Amino acid sequence: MVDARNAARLTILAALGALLLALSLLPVAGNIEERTAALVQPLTTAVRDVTRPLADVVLNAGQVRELSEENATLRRQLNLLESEVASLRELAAANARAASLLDAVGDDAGRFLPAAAVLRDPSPTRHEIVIDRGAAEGVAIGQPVLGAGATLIGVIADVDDHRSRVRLLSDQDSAVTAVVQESRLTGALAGGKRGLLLEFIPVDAPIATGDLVLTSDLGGLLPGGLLVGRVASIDARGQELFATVHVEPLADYARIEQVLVLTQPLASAATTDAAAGVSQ
Amino acid sequence: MSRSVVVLATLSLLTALLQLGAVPALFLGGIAAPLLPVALIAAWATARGEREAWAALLIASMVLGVASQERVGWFLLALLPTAALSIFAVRSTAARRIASAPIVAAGGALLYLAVLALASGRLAALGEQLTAGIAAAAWTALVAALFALVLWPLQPRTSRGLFE
Repeated sequence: MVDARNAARLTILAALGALLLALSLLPVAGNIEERTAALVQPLTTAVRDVTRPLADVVLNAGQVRELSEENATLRRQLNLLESEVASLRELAAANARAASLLDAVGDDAGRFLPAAAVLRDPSPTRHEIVIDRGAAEGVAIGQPVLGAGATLIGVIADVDDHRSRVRLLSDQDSAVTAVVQESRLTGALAGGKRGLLLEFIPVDAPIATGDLVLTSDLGGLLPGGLLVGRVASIDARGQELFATVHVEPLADYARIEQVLVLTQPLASAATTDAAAGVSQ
Repeated sequence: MSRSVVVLATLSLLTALLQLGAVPALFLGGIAAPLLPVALIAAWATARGEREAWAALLIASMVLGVASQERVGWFLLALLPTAALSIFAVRSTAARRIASAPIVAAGGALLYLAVLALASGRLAALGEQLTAGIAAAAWTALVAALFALVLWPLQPRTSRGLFE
């Protein structure tokens, strides 16, 4: 049974927890937390770097079979694609446009701020990362964050002086306006336990698996044309008004290390053009 | 401060850093991953008693809290059930105490996840990911068993009376 001393000990700790919660409401708490985090982050990064070789061995060992199957699938796809080369030649003009897109991305490179993902939120229901750039470097709430392949992975949700919190698109609270590139249909791209869902797409909408999904200018919160993902599946039931559209992100949210924060408005439609390049 | 508390504080700091730096890389950021601070508290409490667990609670919650959107206080409250559960395990025989470490850790892990989900206002979301939560509890239990075996030599020596 729980004796009086144990009960007292637990009560004190619970009271301390409640007291810390109350103190966290004070403005000074944020500064203390940021300074503590500044101490913790280098240690965490060091631990991650030391354990990374072990993680790589474990993860790659588990992926051998998966990679083998993927290789076989890719070989089949390669055979199919070879037969389509002739038709792809007709898209040479589009390829030229893709090249011009890449040029445009180069022009916009100065508008992006490189950052490293230093922490992942340990809370079980949050999909957020912490990056090593903050307000002092020009980061502000609402700015889009791009990951591998220059695809949108999230939005700045909170900013301290030298670190920021990125809410990934897969987070339950994340919702951005998105457009299906091929059909130009606009919907709300929301995160959650079922992955990324493109909502408010009519059941009879002309979309297909593999269509690219980009951000939309609609709403004015994000620049349009940032690449997000591909339509992975469409669940359209006749009696429903809207289809359930699953979007597969092009970036691997579980392995985010380096990101780009768009700190200044894009002057060109660079990312839209880049997306067009991906689609071709 | 006794030497054992210093050792526990160091181990707690290490496990919290591993939780932030190594576990997401190994388990790709998912919920279904071991909760090392929970495992440490469960193992330490069963090996040496729950009296020293407060050091681990404070240090782990501070390290985890600054990395999270949730406040430090929530992590302290989330780790507290593990210490509370361990109270029921520490008074039994040695074999039972070792065996109880993974059970305490599993229960503590589920309550840890529940408290943090409650803190973020997403308790329902955790319920929908029950399988991942159970996997996390299982991983934590496994790690706690390993920790308990490693920490077992650190158990306090009690002077036995003539007729005990």
